[in-house]
Amino acid sequence: MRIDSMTYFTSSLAGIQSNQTAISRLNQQIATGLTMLATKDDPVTAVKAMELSNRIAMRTQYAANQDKAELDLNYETVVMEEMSSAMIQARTLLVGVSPSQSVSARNVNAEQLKGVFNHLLGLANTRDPSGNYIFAGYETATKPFVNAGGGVPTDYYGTSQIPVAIAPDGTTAPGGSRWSELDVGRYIQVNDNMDQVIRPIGGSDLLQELGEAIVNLPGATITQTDIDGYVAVLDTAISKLGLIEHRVAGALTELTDLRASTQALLLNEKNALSDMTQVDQAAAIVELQSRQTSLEAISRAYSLTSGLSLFNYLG
Amino acid sequence: MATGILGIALSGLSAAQAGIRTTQHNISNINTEGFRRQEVDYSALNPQFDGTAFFGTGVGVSTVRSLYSQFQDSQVLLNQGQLSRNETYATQASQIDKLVGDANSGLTSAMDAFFGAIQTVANDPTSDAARQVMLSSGRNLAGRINSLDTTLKNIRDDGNREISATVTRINTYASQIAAMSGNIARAEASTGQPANDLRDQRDQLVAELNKLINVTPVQQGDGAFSLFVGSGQPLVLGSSVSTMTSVPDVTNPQFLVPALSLAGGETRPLDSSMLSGGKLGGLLAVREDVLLPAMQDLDTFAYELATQFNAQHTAGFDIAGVPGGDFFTNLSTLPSPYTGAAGQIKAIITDPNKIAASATSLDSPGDNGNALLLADLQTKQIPGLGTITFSSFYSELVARTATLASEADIGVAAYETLTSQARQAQQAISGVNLDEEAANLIRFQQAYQASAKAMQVASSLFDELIGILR
Repeated sequence: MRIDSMTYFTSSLAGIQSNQTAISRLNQQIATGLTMLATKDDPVTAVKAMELSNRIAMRTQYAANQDKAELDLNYETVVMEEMSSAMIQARTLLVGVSPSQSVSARNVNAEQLKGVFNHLLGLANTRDPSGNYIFAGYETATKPFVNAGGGVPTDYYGTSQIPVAIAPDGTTAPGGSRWSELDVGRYIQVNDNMDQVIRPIGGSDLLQELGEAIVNLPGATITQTDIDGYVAVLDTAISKLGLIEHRVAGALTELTDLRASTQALLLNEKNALSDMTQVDQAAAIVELQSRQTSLEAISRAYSLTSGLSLFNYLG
Repeated sequence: MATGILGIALSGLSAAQAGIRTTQHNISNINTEGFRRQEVDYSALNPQFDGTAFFGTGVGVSTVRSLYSQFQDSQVLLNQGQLSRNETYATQASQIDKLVGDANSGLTSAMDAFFGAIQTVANDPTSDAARQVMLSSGRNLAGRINSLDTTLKNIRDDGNREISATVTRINTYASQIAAMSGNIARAEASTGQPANDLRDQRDQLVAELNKLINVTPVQQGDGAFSLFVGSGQPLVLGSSVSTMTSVPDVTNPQFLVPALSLAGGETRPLDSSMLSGGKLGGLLAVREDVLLPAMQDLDTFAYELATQFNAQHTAGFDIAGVPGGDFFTNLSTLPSPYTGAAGQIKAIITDPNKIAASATSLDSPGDNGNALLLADLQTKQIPGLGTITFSSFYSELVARTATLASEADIGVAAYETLTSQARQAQQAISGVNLDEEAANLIRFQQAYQASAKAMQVASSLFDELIGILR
């Protein structure tokens, strides 16, 4: 077949150019560590990688939510343990009092009970490091429990007007409850309303009763029935608090399980993403070497053929 | 013309000279774009009858013709037109692909950050820091949408300018081709010989024009040359040239489309279905397939984000228990297809306390009910987006753009190969081969030497005759 001189001389050029393009691309891949320099390089994988990194971002956020929820629940646990022991202490004090004791002995008990009362009131008004009252439901900026003592009913300034709170997934809890999303559509309650322990609907006001006890214990008219009444109120509160403690403990267990699976999935997804997007350095360098070899071969072929011309032999 | 032995030798000399001249012409034009190698056609002169037999009278040049194949030439035109189209398409599609798919300019990371910030507000609804972060990441997301929109509009404007500039160049080429065709017709009519080099030049202009707009050249029987574009509209018809202009598109007035000015002041817009090749074809196709859908998708995305988010935000209450206002610019009055939404969207809340994280109207700063529902929008399937999530909708935009850009790249590679094959096949016929020309040079040189020798023989014959008479 006839070939024209231009084609003859420039036929190596295409090979040189394609090899140079490939080498430049490999260099970029090695420098950036990425296989895909643009999404068009591999649209299917690139979009998968995009969706995966979106999932990773979401899951990382869920992991952060879990950390925060754990922090809140642990804080609540510690405070509730303290409350529980204060209540038990108050109970022990009350059980230890009898109308037959001397006024001065009962006075000592009343004074001790006053200390426990103040401690309990303080715990019910606990604030988190950001200054939020943790047992106040949604009204985190307002001190929830105020009791003047001496049989005065306790005032509550937390959220109790809304009888029930509903999470986005339909879960319900007493008013003022807050949830955190720990996974797609999975919510966990991260606070509790202490009103249900201290002033249960239809039940006795714990702080009011303790206030009365402090006033009445040293008095002459105190009877064993009165004392038993105070103990009964305390027992109800202790068992109510125990229920909340159990709820929190269960939530923490759920949280731990969830965290383990979140971390495992996060690791898997990160590995998958890196498999999709990260360049295999060894393979890239081997390809670079082979591209270089073929570029050298083409260049050599060009220099050999370009020197050939019939004109060299004429004259 | 002298007849007899001297005359015959003389015709041989000039024939060899014609051969050498043509060979030199071929060699000198080896680098001339569009040049077709030429060959001298020889024929024996009319014989003379001297009473006994017909005697030859030497050689004459019947014509100089250029070598080409109409079929190969049209193959090159066809493939070159598609290559230009794909190159233009790939350049713009890659630009848009890089823009929407890139982690820095795309929306994915901004979207993740925004929804993450909402979750952080849900974790700690009274935290001023968390609320500030949500505001700034909302502003950032809106800003990203704005800047994507601006860049896409810049690409649109660049495309418009390119269409105008290309149309101007097409007009220049068209009038040059018409003028050149007139010259060719006149030169050929007066001499009866093909004007090879003029034709090469004209065909080269056609090839250049074809890179801009795919043309169908038609050589009419009477020597008139015409070029047709689109679905058979004449661009050059003999000596008359139709002017091309660019006019606003009827459905999308912000886009310019090329149009052909017809006789009687009428202009006929050419759409992408008519312009299947060339740079103009690529510009129109990439706009239709990639740019316009990307702009529309971005508008839809911005509209749905603003509308859905505002709807949920206004359903909640801010830190003081006041009903929430719009978080993003209210775009709900924009008619479908929501043109301009991506340019208008802004996060309009500036006071972090105005974020409606609470689901209850009472004084409840610690309520995160509405923040949870706002965060839920990340995984919610939005009917206005085709019942998929925001991030899936954006992924689909990226996937579509990337696929088209990658197809265009494949198209470029394919048409590069096809064009180069067609060009090689064309050049196998029309291209100059220096070795061949060297051999021809020797051939004509020897023919010249032989004719000169014949002349010397004739001359010595005369000398002999004159010597006898002396």
